[in-house]
Amino acid sequence: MKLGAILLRQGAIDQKTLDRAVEIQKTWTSPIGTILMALGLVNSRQIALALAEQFSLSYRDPGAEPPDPAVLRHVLSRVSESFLRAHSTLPLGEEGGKIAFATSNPTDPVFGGELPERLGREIVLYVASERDMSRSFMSVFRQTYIDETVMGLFYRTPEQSAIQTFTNAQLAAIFIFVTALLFGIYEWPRVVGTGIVLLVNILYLVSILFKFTASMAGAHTEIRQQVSDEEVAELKDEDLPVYTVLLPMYREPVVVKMLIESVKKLDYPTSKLDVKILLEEDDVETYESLRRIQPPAHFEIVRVPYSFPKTKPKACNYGLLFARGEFLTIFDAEDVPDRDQLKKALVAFAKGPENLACVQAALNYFNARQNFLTKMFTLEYSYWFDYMLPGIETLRFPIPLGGTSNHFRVETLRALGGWDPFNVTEDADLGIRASARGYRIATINSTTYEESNSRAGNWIRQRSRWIKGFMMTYLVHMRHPVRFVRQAGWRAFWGLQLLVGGTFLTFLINPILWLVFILWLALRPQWMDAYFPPAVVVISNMNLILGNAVAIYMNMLAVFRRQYFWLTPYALLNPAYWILHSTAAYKALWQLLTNPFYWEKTTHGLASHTEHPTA
Amino acid sequence: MDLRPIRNTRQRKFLGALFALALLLPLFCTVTVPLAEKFLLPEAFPMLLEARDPEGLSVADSILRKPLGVHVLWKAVFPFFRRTPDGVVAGWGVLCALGVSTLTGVLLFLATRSHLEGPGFFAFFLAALSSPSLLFTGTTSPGGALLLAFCSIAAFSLLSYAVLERTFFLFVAGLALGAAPFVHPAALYYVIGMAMILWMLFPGDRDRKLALYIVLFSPFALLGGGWAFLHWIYERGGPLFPNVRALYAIWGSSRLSLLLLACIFFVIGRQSYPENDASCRLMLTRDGAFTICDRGRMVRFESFWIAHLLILAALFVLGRDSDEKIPVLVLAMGTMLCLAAVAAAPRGWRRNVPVLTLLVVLSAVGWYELPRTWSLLEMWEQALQGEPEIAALYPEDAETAAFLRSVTRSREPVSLPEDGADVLAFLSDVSRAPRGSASRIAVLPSSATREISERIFFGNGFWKVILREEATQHEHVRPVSVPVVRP
Repeated sequence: MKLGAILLRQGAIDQKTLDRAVEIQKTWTSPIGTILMALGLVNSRQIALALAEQFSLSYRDPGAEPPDPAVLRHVLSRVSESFLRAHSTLPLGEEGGKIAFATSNPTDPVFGGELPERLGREIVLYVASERDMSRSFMSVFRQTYIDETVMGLFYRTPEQSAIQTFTNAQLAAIFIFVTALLFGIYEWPRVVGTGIVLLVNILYLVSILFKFTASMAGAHTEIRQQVSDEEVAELKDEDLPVYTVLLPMYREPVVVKMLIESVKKLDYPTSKLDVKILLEEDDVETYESLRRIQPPAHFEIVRVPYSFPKTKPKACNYGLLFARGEFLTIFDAEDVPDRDQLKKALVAFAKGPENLACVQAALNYFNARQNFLTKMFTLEYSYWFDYMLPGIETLRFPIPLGGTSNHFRVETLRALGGWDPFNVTEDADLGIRASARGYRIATINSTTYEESNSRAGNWIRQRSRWIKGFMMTYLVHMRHPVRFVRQAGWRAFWGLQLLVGGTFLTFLINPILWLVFILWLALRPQWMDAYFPPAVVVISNMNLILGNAVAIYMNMLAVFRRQYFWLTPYALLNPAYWILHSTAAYKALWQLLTNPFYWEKTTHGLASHTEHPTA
Repeated sequence: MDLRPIRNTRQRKFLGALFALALLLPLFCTVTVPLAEKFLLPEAFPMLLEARDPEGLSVADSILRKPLGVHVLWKAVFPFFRRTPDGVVAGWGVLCALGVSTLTGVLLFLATRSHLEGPGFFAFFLAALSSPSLLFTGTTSPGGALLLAFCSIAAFSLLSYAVLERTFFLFVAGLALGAAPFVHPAALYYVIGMAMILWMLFPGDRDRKLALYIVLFSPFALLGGGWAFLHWIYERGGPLFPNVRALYAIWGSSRLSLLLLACIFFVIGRQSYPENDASCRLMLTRDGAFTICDRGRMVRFESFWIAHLLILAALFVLGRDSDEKIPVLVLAMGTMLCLAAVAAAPRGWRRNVPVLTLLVVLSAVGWYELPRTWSLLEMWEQALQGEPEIAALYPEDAETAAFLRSVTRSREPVSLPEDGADVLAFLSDVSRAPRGSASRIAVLPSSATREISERIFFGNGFWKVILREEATQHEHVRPVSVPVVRP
């Protein structure tokens, strides 16, 4: 008897519901049980009970009866934990010389041959619900998963983990450099001083030229849509793969409802969505909020075990362990993605080269008009995601990923080792790591709207985390510069210098130069002339005038793609905004030295709810 | 118009190389050389005079080049050669003309490559090179050549933005409009004219138009602010925008108001006609020289070209009596825009050739209709026809140059006595000069006033220009006597 008929007979659904599900199945092509669950018409347990009846098996809840430790040890000596997880099965105990297994997928052929063969024993099969199986895995292998999510990258490629902020070689290099610099300043103050001024100016000059080039390249792609609406329309629901959506949250009960509404609006067959809300174990308030809202059945609440460090990448690694999709994306708590974003990402993957590891959607803000800070932030994001990133992509430099709305092939993401839980901008790090290993990253013409920070303190906290993350990323990938160049090539190397190193360095240097300039304007001290010979003066003035002018001018680009014309005059106020950047940069530097893994939490839900697109 | 990104790598590289060449050549002369002269190669100064060695000095040497740039470059690359070959020197001016023509041609090609074939591009190129006003501007005035380039870039970029709404073009237009007044003061009037009429050429609400204006004109404001700052620094609190005086010297404030009136007249007139009114189109035929777009957008672009022509006409009328180069410059700008518009017309290059030929003829007629009170025009024409010995034309210059060459071996500031008529002394701001002693002397073939001297050295903010009588009173200047040969 078919599953639908069993559910009908059991009274879990009525005929009308079944007919509707059958109709949907023609296009979604998912199993009827998955469709019914995705529509929120039955729950995981009802499906398991029906499956048990369909295959004349018994139903058992592995969560209620933990596996016999001796049996588990025996099983794990023959098959790996990942094998069990891949086939959604767990040993329960021994029954009459056979090993009892619970599974949510009794049709898996592995139970008919491979598993008994590898165990050297016969097996007895029980049916369990998907949810129960997930919970059981998380409970049984808790420590294994903690180790994997926290230390997995370090165990596999220790040189790419930020667990050690500075390596001994880096500390030695910094020590030698600083000592040599101090000695130089003592012995030849004018020569060294001039050299520093010249170097700093060259850095600025190169940085601004790079930004100009990238912006112009990005502006060139303005009307070229990476993925057209026609291409999206050509996709057939039956051909779509399962897509995992990770929703990491921490203490954000206020925005839960809006997030769920946003994800529900995605244009994608619900039965092919594997949505995982990742909650820290100690986050009771968000969990309670979720329980009250009762998200649809295809939303799975995953409790991330309490462990150090308590960071978003660790939660994402945990979600990645249980991802069922062929593709995966991440949305933040306050995100509102474009409806067709998943489909656009799929088209981009299909059109892209084989080594395309990730597709980054644009980010923007729904509360841009709230105050000065949100306006400046919107300008910055519009410029970065609408012009700089496409430009960087065109120029084939590595793309530091944004924290959300990046879409991966799950297989590639696992091959890359997932996210670094010790890096507070795990996204940027992953982008550089992917480039270093020869993968490509592309952008798509789809937007996720977020909530812009509207309070200065909150903004500085968030930005200091980002800048600290950039510092960590730079330190990690500069541990072996020669090896990095050999692996990734010069383009990636210079991309790392300009996009990651140059970013935080300019924020740090800016205030010093501003002070020097003010001092010179106010007092015109004679001694300063010694450090600014004519050639250096030319470059310095060029940076001061042309550099700042170009930076401001490029920022004006930001408004055009989205037609935020009312924001243009605010581009002229960028110097005030840069002061905030530098403040955050110094905070980041301090934290890098004193508390590198501390995750500065950004408070969301400060925007007026009427501004939220789902409101 | 088809402005899709060029996918063919070879094509892109070729165009990129042409573009770079076209832009860099005139830019080198006006921007790089003064910097090099000031900071990097002060020893180049005697070379300047070396180039004015009377033996072998030709008209081409004197006019068809800017000597310093070529010599500095030549000496930097081939330091072991004592003299720069004349061929290299004379080639500079021609290269400038080629550069400007190529630059505009490349832009035109980019904008119209869906229907502009290679021969059409070549025809445009030939037509541009056959236009005396373009050649003259390119070969005698790097600033004018750059002005042509920047104004052409601005016009085509604005047009491209209007058609495609690609921000890239708007920003390029803004940069071109921002840079143009700094290479030639006449461009300021072009910028003002554009500012007065652009608002009605683009649709959109107040926010959009404000954004458009900020993007288009903030480069000029930012560069102007930067320039003022630099001038303030190097003049130690001297007047800001010294070139404002030069600008007024060209036309005077009353003439500026005439330009404003002309633009206001255009705006009012344009608004009086509804967009589809036939009377508005009487000025240009539907298939005529200035139509390059589809019918739906035609009116807007007619206005665009009319606006340009109006600005140029205003420049011509207002500037022709005060600066002899202005009529040539306006003629060159108009020629360039017209040639480009015709070449871009989507009718196939064969049909464009007669119109291009006609325009070249008209341009030549315009050239010969220019007032002939200016000796440089005649000298230039002479230079094109042959190379009479410089000594026959300017014996006093030759003599003076020979003398100065010997005098400045010591690199001391030099002034000239009262009887050294028609000669100016130029010296750097000695207190800030590198190595404290750099100086330079130039010889002008015509009688020079303060007004002319300031205009000639427009843009060179590091040099003080001092008239002979002032120079002789300077504490660092050692007066010398110059044997002047008068005809």
